[in-house]
Amino acid sequence: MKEQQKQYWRSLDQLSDAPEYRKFVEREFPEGASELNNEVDRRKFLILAAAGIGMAGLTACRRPIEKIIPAGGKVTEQLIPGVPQQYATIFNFGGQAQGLLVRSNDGRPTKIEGNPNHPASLGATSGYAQASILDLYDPDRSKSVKQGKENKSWDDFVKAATPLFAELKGKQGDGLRILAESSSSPALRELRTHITTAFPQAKWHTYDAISQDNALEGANLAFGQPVHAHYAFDRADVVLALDSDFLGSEIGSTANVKGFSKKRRTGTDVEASEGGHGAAAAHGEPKAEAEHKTEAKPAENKTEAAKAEAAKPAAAAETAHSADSGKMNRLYAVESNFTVTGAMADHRLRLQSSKIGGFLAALAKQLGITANGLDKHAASIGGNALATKWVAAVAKDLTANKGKAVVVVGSRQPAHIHALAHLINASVAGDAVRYTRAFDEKFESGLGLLKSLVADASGGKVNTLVILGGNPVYNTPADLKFRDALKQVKNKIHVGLYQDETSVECDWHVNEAHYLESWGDGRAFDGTASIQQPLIAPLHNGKSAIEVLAAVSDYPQKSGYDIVKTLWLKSLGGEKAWNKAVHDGVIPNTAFAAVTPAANAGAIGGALDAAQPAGDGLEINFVQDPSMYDGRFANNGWMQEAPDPMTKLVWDNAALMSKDTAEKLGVSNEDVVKLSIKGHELRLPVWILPGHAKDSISVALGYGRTETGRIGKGYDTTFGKLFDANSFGNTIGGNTYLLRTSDAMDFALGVTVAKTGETHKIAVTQDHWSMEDRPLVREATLDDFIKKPAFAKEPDGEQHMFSIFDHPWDFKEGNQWGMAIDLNTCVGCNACVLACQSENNIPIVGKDNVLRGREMHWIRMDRYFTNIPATEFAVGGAKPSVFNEDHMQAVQQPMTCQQCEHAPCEEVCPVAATVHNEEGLNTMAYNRCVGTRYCSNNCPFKVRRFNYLNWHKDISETEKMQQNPEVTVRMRGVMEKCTYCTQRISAAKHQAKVEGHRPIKDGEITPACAQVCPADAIVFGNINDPNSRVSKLRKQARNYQLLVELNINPRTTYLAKLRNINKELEA
Amino acid sequence: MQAVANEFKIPKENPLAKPPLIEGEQSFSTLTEAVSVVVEDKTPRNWYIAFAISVLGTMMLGGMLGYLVFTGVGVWGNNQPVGWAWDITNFVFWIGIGHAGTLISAILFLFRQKWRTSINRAAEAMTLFAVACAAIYPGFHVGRIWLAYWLFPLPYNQGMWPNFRSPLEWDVFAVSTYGTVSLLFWYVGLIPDLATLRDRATTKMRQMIYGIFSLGWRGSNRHWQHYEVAYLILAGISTPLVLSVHSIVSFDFAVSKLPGWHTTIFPPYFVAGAVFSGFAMVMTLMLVARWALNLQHLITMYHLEVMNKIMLVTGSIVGYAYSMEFFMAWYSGNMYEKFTFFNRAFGPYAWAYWTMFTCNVVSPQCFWSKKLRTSIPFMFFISIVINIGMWFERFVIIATSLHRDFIPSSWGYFRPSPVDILTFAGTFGLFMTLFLLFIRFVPVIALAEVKAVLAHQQHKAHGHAKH
Repeated sequence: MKEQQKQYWRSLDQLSDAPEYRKFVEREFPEGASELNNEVDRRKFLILAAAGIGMAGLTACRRPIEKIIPAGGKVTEQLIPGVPQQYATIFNFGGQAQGLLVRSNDGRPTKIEGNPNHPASLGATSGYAQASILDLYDPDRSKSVKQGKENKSWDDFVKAATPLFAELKGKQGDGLRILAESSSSPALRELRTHITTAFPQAKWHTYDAISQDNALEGANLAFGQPVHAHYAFDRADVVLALDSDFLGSEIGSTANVKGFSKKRRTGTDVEASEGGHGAAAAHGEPKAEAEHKTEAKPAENKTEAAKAEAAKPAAAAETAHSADSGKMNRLYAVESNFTVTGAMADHRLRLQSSKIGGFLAALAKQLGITANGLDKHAASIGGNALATKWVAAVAKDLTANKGKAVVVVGSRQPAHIHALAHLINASVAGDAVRYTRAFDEKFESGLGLLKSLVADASGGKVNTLVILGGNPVYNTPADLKFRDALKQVKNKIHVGLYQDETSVECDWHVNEAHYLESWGDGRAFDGTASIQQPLIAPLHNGKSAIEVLAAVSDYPQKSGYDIVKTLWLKSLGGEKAWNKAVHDGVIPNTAFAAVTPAANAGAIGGALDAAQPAGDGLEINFVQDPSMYDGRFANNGWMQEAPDPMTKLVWDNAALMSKDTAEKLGVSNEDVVKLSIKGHELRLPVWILPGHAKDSISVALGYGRTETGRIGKGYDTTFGKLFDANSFGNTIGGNTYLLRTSDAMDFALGVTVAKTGETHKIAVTQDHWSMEDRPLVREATLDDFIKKPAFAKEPDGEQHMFSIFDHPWDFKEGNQWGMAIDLNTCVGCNACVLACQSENNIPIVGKDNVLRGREMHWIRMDRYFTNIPATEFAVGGAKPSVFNEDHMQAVQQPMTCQQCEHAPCEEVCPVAATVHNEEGLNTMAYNRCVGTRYCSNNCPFKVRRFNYLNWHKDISETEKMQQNPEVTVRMRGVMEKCTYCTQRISAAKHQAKVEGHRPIKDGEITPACAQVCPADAIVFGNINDPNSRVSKLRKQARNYQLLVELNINPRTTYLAKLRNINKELEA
Repeated sequence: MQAVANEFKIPKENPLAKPPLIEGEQSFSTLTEAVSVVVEDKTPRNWYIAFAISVLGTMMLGGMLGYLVFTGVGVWGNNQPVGWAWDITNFVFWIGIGHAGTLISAILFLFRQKWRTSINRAAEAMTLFAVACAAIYPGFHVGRIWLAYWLFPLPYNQGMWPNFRSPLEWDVFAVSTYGTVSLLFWYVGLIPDLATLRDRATTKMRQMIYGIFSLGWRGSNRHWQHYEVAYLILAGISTPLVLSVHSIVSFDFAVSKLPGWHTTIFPPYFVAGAVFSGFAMVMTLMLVARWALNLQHLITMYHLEVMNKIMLVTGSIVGYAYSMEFFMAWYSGNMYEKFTFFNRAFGPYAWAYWTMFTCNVVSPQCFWSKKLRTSIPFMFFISIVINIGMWFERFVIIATSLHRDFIPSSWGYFRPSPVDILTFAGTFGLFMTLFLLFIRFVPVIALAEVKAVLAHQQHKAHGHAKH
């Protein structure tokens, strides 16, 4: 063939195949265009460049190789830049897990919400969870492994630990101790089992400064097994809380408030709340829906919509308030400290914590319960006529509501009181109390374990101590002298988020990964398990506790992901179920089965008999701080500046006492006193909390940290010192652990108070007790409400309103946003304050500026004391002249921009920086504001906040990552305020527009405050839609506006507070 | 001339007759001499000392304002709920001071109150300098000073008008108009006197500068005719401004919703208060100037006494306003109003309220007594007391209304920061600096007008003698 083809040639040279021609053909470029005289030619360069870019991409990849799965209806294949996603995870706190949905903006977790599917969250979260995101970005977090003061790497640690643990293994683990905080995590439990198997002589100690041990021990005593008691407050008509802040600081309060608030709604409210609850349950979803592209709507949302549809005819059938059933639960609180639970109570008795056992014993007697020791304990309140009156009245009420009455005892009360309460509940609670097994099958007292550790360490029996989280040097009882004992331990390893008092005493410190950076798991109070999914790779290469344990103990898996996944695949079965578990945030059918243990009256009687009833004397209470918890939030600025719900105190703790006690002791506010008990001393300033128990002083734990970050020491990158010349040395507040001894962890009698003559300036955000007879919080008894449902509107009288201004909008069309806040369900837990801070990039200002009144919170909780039992249509607060601490009540009122239709702020702004939009929002154009502050002066609610200084100056790079990119960071000189989370409104509107200009569904937009509210007390929506939840609430008889006479027509309305009074206790 | 003066002496029994406005044996040339010599003589040492202190004060003001601009309004003590405190207090205080000047030069001119001629120049200058001090505050109290120009209706990239519903916007126009008209009025009045100084000038420099500013004044008949008309027109324009500026400043408060601010009595009450404080300030300055510059024969006891009477009247008006506010608060039946006024008098700022009340209402009542009214040390003391009182009036209105308003949870308290105090002190430095420059370089007394009074006085005296 070839031969037959014609030959073509280009030139004679080719034909002759001359070497010159060969050369010419091989050359790519014609003569003259010389190649680079370089080994790397163009092709090679391109090859290398391509490889380089490829490899560079690999090194830049910080996304965990472990697959995390966003929550929401439809999982998108890729991240859409700029579109936030939500991921389900959990927050392990106080030994239990709370389910979360965490928003991630382009890989940065920015906002924490509750996971509606999680039993401990139900869509809401605690304030602690809200603030925990700031810890992730804390620039003062521990950033590297340390040996002594020297920075080391994780590999160095593993290299050093391997021979040590090999040696320990040779000794069967003799001398190896692990001190951890209590945890519900199955993975940690697995590691614990692994370690105790591999090191049979090793011992695991658990200690929590604030623990549930009393409750578990009480259950152990009553039932012979440690069980968790779950109070179904949504089924209880009468609740007696004994020293229990179950609506506030007690662990699990989120779910408690959810249940309790259902029983606080009357009549029509119940209908609205059902809808509300459904929507609340789907809170996370609409957001997710708005954020992910959804052709298919999330299933949850459909049910919600269906629910709302179903609720419609029922709601329509109702006239305004004819359906008020007049049914509401009744809460009695007996407590020493004044807590939000006490403020919520229909009746509150102030009683020393040490006398509360006596009260319960007297109550048990009155209820006809027989047990040994009851008389002895009951006698201790014999002298208190009011308490005796209470016992009779409460017993009667409990009996009358048998099957629907619950006695809740606070975690600070001793075990035998818990046991006695179980005995009472067995007869009165019916199905309102449920029991499930505890996480541990055998009860071991944390304090006992700590004591044994200290004893062993002091005796030189401890060779290696691994401290997993916690800060025992700081928060263990003073008499145990943990620090001295620790010095006797040869090898001390601390794993923690911060360099703290404990880490400086240890040889090795491993920087722990934050829970948003690491894999883990945990169980809710009822046993429901969840996977803790990270949203970001560890910022400082931290390791989680399980990873540390795995590394030192030859556990087959090393990374948190592998440990958790391998463990859970065993029970889940497959990848699909794992993915679903990670996606949903809860693992189905993992809740513990309910058990029905029988209370052993004999054992309880025995314990009661053995315990000595308290005598008389001045009592000191060690209480959990709503901001600091046990001290772990010391470097969290949001928490330091979150006002205490009752005292409104920030950046400090104080010796809280009643006015009569202060008078008796001859002290007044801000006097520094020396508290002494059992040879331990502490200086603390006095703060008077009206209605606190007489002869009792409450001191919050968690302050006075010496080894913490800059915030915790009162420094800040922006302002240098956050407060001057603190009379408390260089700490914030006083370390009350120095007074706490192992025999009196919760309260002790016999404290002495000595005046030092010094004073200490205390910053409070609201230095006023009374409402000055102004109808701000409107309140009536339930009976009076039934008689006159419209009582809340009475103080307004008849108003003849006329405005000289033509509003550019008539507010009749489209979406008209409004908010209704139910004061009858709001407990004042502060979660909304923190959620708003997190969502809206609200800065902290430091103690000095709080003292000057410059705090920046857009939503605040107004707390007023009153001591007239709500009499007939009483409105407003009490006059100071009738100050009676035995009948002290308090109310809470969330206060934020009311979005007045005729907004006084808008009229006076000279540059029109604050204007109304057609949807009724009072908007702020931050970049138009010049900062005259005239708007704030003219705001009747004083909810506007001015950036007096540059609060964001020098903010760290990591803290910047927390900030919500949807919300402008306001510069100094600019006024700011709440706009009902206008960024969320816009997002939903965009989504609705994309989906064919559909109307926005009720519940699709939830402002941060409403979203986090465990009581669903804040409801937001379109008031132009008669079927929206907010419209229904506004139609209720209890609905009222504030300052109606100013003709400002606020869009936020309040639903009046009710108290369900027991006539027998009325003064 | 002695004879003339003696002849003119008023018999005591005639209460309607007025004492002479110019004392002693005077002629046009002695008057010119007396006034010009202040400007032409070698600068006295005391002037240098006073000027040095004042300039230091001005520099401190500059430093404080610079610190404010670079750090933020937080260097002052303002807070939530007291968004305005010393800043707006000082603004209203200084604007009020200015009022006497315009009142004297415009209204008294229109009413042919010849006694004004001795004091009007200085009073007008005081107005200008007080307005300059006042203008600092609205400019610098804003959070973003560099954007304060947005308050003016300027065409720029945002394409936005200011909010004409805001009283603060009205302030912008009211104060800038007031400042401009006051400057023109003062300057037009100065022209003949500047020409006098030009003509007397011995150095080239003086001739040049006074020559430029006297705008070629030759004192021709035509010049005088135009001058008189222009002066009359400006007096006519200024007259409503005397009432409008402080009325509009009072609208900042009266138009708002705040109890204690929201009251219709404010415009007349503020104007009366402004005149009151303005006269007190004129009195303070004139007593010093008269003594230091040897002008006793031009600023006579008669002038001082008339001013004291005006203070007595305006002080009583202010006292009436205070009482009427209380009455209205009670009569309104509004709990917030009632509380605000109760709180003013008996709340945490009671000390400020009673300081104000004593200084403004009680102290001028002493002027019912002729003896006290004509005692120079006493009137000097009272004029200072009144200025303190009027400062407190503004502070009481602004801060005590703000610190406790509708929602008790937001109640607070205001304490000034050192920067607040030093800034305020610095404005006095600026004021004094300007005033010292004024007495050094500009005739303190309106020569042309005083000469007219002298002519009138002599003419009257002669005429009287004939009959």
